[in-house]
Amino acid sequence: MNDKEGPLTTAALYILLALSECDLHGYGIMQSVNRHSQGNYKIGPGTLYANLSALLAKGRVGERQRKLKNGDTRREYSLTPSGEQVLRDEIRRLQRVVAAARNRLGKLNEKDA
Amino acid sequence: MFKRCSIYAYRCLLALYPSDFRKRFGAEMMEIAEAAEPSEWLLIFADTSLAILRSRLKLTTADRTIVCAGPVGYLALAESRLPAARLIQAVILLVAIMLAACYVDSLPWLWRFPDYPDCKGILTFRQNEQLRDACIPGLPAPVGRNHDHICSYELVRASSERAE
Repeated sequence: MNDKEGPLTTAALYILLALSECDLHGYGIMQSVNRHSQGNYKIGPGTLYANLSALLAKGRVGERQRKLKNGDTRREYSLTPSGEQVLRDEIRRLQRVVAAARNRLGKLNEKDA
Repeated sequence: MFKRCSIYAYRCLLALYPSDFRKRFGAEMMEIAEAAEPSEWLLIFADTSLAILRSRLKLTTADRTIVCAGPVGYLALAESRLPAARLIQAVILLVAIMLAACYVDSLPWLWRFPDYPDCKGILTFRQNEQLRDACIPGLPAPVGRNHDHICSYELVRASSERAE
């Protein structure tokens, strides 16, 4: 499914990773991304909602209204089965890239030695 | 005051989003902005400005001839004619980005050139050579157009060092 669309962008990957833990609202996703990347990748609201909009349109992410204790409602986003599949495919692709890179680096190290 | 101005500027920036996007996500984006630390404002403004630009370009290219190359679409320039409304939107967006940049540049927590004393102080200092010699013995004679600023800066620095 993901192969047809090409690789995920970094922002989309981090958003799907954040939602794989639990359902989150926008600010929660931003904090989760910051935590997952150990502060190396910060996502702004513009990028976040542009990606969420695209992911919602493709059905990778779902949304629901949650009532808070004070009576307010808050929109929360969740990972759909299709989004989970895309995330798994992307992680498999990245694993293949890392394996190929390790193999290549090993050969380079042998050459140097 | 700073926060209120930032939030107001951000609200104006959000007005440049396409209306359906703004209605759907605008309130949440404002919530995020309100919860942001002052150090995050640069990221938020820059990121949102770029996202608006991207969303506007996407709208512009959606109903035009597009040459597709895999997942990336390129606009065929010869066939792209921007309507007047889009041009006006682009100008407004550009002005908003420039204002945001000026605003960000004026933020106190960003690095800037060291602040110099105001002109009144410079003139007094310049005119009173005895004061200058008393404060900083051996200060070189005025040379170049920036000398007043440098002298004043040296004066402030010397005074603060003495105070320490």
